[in-house]
Amino acid sequence: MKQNNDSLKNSRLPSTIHRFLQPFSGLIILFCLIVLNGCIVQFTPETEEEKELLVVEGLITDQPGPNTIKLSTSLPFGKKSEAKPLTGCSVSLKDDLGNLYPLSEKGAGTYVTNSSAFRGQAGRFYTLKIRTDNGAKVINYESSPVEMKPVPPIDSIYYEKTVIKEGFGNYFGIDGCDIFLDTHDPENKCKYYRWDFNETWILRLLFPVENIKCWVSDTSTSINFKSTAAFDEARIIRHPVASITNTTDRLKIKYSISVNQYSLNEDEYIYWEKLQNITDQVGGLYDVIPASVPGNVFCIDNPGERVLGYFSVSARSSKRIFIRDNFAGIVNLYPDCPVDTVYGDVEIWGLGESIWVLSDNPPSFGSPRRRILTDKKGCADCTVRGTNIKPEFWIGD
Amino acid sequence: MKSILIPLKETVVSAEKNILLKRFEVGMEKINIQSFKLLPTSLGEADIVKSVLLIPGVKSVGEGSAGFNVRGGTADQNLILLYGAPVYNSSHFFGFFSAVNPDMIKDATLYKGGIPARFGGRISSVLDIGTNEGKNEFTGSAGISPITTQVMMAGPLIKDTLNYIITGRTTYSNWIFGLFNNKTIRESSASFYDINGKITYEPNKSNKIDFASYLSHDAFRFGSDTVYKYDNNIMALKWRHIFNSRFFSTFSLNNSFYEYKISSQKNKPESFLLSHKINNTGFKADFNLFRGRNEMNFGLDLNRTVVLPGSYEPANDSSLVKRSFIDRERAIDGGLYADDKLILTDFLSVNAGIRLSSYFSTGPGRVMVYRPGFSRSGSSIIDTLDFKAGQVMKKYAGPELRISLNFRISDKNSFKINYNRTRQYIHLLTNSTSISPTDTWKLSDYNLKPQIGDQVAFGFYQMIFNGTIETSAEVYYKGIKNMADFKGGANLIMNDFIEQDIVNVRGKSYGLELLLKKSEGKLRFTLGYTYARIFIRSLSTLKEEVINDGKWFPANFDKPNDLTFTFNYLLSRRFSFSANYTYSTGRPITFPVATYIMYDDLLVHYSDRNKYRIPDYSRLDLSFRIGGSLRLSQIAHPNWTFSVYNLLGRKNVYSIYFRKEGDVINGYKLSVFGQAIPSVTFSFDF
Repeated sequence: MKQNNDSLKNSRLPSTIHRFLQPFSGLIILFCLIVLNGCIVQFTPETEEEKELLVVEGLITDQPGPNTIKLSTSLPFGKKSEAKPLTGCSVSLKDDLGNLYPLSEKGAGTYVTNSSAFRGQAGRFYTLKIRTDNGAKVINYESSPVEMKPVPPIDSIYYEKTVIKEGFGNYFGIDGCDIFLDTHDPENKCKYYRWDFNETWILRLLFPVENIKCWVSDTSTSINFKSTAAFDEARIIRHPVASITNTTDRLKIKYSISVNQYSLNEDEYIYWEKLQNITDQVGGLYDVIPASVPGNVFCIDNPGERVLGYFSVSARSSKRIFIRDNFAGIVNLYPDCPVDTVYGDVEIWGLGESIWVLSDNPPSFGSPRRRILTDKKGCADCTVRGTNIKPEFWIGD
Repeated sequence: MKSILIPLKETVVSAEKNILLKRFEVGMEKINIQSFKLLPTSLGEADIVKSVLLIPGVKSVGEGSAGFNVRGGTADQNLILLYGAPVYNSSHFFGFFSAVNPDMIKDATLYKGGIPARFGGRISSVLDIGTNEGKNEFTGSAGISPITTQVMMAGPLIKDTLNYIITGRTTYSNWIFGLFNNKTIRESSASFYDINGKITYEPNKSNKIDFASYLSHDAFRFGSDTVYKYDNNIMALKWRHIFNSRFFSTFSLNNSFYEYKISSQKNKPESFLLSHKINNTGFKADFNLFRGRNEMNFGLDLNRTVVLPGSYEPANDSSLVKRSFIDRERAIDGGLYADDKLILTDFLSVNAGIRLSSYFSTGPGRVMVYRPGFSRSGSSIIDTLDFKAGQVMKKYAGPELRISLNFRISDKNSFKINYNRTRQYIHLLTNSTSISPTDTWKLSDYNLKPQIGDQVAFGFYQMIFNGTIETSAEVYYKGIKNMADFKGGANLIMNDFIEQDIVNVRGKSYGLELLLKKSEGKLRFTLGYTYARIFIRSLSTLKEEVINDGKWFPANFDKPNDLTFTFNYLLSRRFSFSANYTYSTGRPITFPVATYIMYDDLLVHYSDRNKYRIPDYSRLDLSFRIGGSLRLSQIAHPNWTFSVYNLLGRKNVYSIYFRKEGDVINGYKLSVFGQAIPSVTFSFDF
C-alpha cells in the first residue's frame, strides 16, 4: 500500500523540548560549582583559517515590494564580525512554471527583484540561481526548489509589564516589558512559523534643541521560530516575541513594534532547529556535538564546497502595536551632557564639529547671553540616532 | 596473662597465580573487591567503573560521563551484567557514581577481547559483576561519606540452607542546595538510592537456587518546575544444578527494566511529561561438561525486549500539548552456543566456540520503506508496511566465531591469538559526546541494521621476578560495521522517523596495551600503557549523510596515549596507603572556524568533525586507610579512609564550548573537578 507523503510527515516537536537539557546541564555545572568549585575558564581556540565561504541570506515573500537576496562571505573565527558583502554576482529566481526573474544589485552584495515583474505566490516553487565571478573564476550555485506555503494572519500582539526589581520605601522599582503573540491557522495548513520584527520608539532629548524629538528604529537580531506540529490545533498562545529591559530608552515615551509572521517549510524549520540546537545547546557536559548544518543552496561546479545560509521562501503577514505606559526605572542614556557654560557673545571654537549647544538663553535683566555646551553630538541632536520625520505608520504623536 | 584473640586473615588461595599464562582469553581482566576498595576515590566512594577505567584499553570521555569505552567501542557496546541481567543505566548522579553498591560486589570480570561464546549481544566488552551472598554467620557494615551513606547486612535465615544479603545506599546531598541564596538553586534537589538483595537457598550439595533483586532510583529537580527521574530495576532467579562431578548446569530467568521521566511545568500551556522505557526478560540455560582434557560449555539464551522510544504527554489540564508516543519496539533474540577448551599438547591449547545469534523484530508496527540510493527523508518514502502483533518485521541472524589459541612457550611465558565476532541489536541513541540524561535505547529494525564487530588480538605474557610480577603485551585490530552516527544537529528525542537522521558509519580501531602488575605482597602496583586509535567513516555517497567528506576521522573518545599507574602499600594490617595516576591524550573536538551573519544574527561555521583536541588529561589521587582494632572481641570495627582526588588540583578540561554573548562569540573550558577534592569515609563492620 502506498500512502501520500504528506500524511507521513514528521510531527516535529516544539523547539522548547530541546531546551530542557539546558537546565540539566545547569544542574551539573551547579553541582560542580558547589561541590567542586570553579569549573569554567574563558578560552580562545587556535585554528587554521579556512577559506571564505559563500553565505546566502535570501527571503522571498508573497508581499509587494522588492525581495532581497544578500550574498556575503564568511569570516575567520575570532575576527571582528561584520558581514563582508559579495559583489558582482548574477542572481536570478526561477519558478516551477519555467519563468526566470533576474535580480539586480542594489548596494554592495544586496540583490533585489524587480517589483513590477516579480511577486511571490503561495503554492509556487522557487529556485535561486547564483553565479559568482571574482575575475579569475566563475562558480555556479543553485538552491533546491522551495514551495511557498500560505500563512495565517497574526491574531494579536500584546505586552506585559514585568518587574525587574520591586520598589520599596523611597526607592523606585525597575520595570521591563515582554511582548507576546497569539496566532492560529483555522485551516491547519501552516505548522511551522518564523517571526522577526521592526521596532520604533520616540526619543526626546532633555534640552530644548532644534532636533529634540526623533523616531528611532531597530530590527530583531535573533531567529525566532516554532512548530505547532505536536499540537492538536495549529494554535500558538503567548509566544514571546521580544523582551525589553530598562537598559534601553525604548519604553520611555512611546514604543511601537511591527511583527512579521512567516510560513516555513518543514525543511526550513528543521534547518533552523538544527542551527539553534548547535548554537544554543552549549555549556554543559552533554552538548550536542557541533556540526555545520547544510542549507538548501549547493555549489554546482564543486559539490564539495560548503555554502552557508538559507534560501527562504515564505508567505508573510504582519501586525503592529503601540505601547505607551508608565515604566519605572528606565535608564537615562544622556547623563552628563553639559560640559561647559559660556556667557556673552564669544565665538566658540569647533562649534558644530566637536562642541554643540544644548541651550541658548538670550541676555535678560542684565544677565549676559548664556549658552550650555556639550561635547556629545547625541545630546544636542536626536537625528544622530533616528529621524525627525514622523513615520507614515505612526499614530498620534 | 590475658590473651587477646586476633583473627587470622581470611585465607586467599593464590590459584590466580600463573593463571595469566593458562587462561585462554586475550584481553580478560578480573578485578577483586579487595584491590578495588584500596583505590583512592573521588567522593569517598569505592567505584567499580573507576577501577575498570584503570585497565589498559578502557577509557572514558571524561569525568562525570556515564559509561566507558573499551578498545575503541562506544559506551553502549558494553554489556554490563548484574545477576546475569543487563544493566541499562550504569550510573547514578550523571555518572559520578556507578550504579552498583560496592558492598554487594564480590568481583568483576571484564572481557575486552576473547569474549566467551556464552555472552552475546554487545560488541566491545562484557563486564560481569559477581555479587556477594550471605554466609552462615551474621555480618554487617555501615558507612558514611560526604555524599552517600550505606548499610549492608548478611546472614543465615535457616542455617546451612537459606542465607540472605541486603545492601542499601542513599545520598543526602540536598542540604548543599539549601545553603544558597538563589531561589532556583534552593528549590533544586538531587538524590538517589539503590537497594540490592539476594536470598540463597541451598537444599543440598547438588542444587542451589538464588533470587536477587536490584532497585535503583535517581531524582533531580531543577528549580521548582523541571523534574528528572530515573529507575533501573533488576530481578533474577538462578538455579544451579550439579548432575555429577563432571556435568554442571545453570538455569536463569531475569528481568531488567529501565525508565526515565522528565517533566516541565515552566510554561503552563506547554508543560509536558516525557518518558522512555526499556524492558528485557531473559532466559538462559548453560551447561558445563568436563571430559578428560576437554571442557565443554554449551547452552542457549532467549531474550524478549520491549522499548517505548518516547512518550510525550500534557503534564496538566491547561497544557496544550498533544498526547503522543512513538510506537513501541519489540524484539526477540536468541543465541545457541557451544565452546570447547581443549588441551591439545602441553604447549598448545585451543578454545573454539561458536554462537548462532538470531534476532526478530516483531509487530505490531509500521515500517517506512525508503527509495534506495536516496537520503532518507519524508520525501523519499516509497511505501509503508503494516505488521500485525507477533508478525516478524525483520530478521537478522548469523554465526559468531570465537577462537583462542594458547601457545605455552615455557613455564614463564605464553603467546595467545584470538579472534571473535560479535553482533549487537540494541543501540543507544546519542549525539552528545558522552551518554546524556535523555539518551534513548533503540532496537534494530527494518531500517537499522545490527552492528557487527570483528576483533583479532595477539598477546604475549611473561612472569618475571620469580613469578611475582606479571607482564603482558596485547595488540588488537577491530572493525565495526553499521555503527549509528547522526546528521548535524539532529533531534533524537521524540523523533518518529529516527532512521531519517541516522548516518550509517563504519569504525576501525587498533592498539597496543602494555601491562606490568604485581598483585601480591605488601607492595602492589599496576603500570599500564596503551596506544590506541579509533576512527569512524561515513560510507554514504549522499551529500546529506557524508561526514568529513567521507574520510576516516577520529571518534569522540580517540585518546591515543594513555598511562595508568596504581600503587598500594600495606604498612600493616591496619594501615594502608595507595595512589593512582592517570594520563591521557585529550579527546578530539570540533572547533568553530568561521563566523557569518544572517538576518543580523551572528552564526558559527564548524571545522571538520573532531579535527582538533582538548588539552591532555592528567590526575593523581592518594588515599590512606586506617582499619579498626584487630581485637575480635570488639563489637564494631571502625575503618577510616582519607583520600584526595586530583591531588595536584589540575583543571583537566572536560569540554570546550562556545557561546554567543552580545556581538561576540566566546569560548570556554569546562573542568568537572577543578581542584583537589579531599574526602573522608567512615565505616564499621559488625
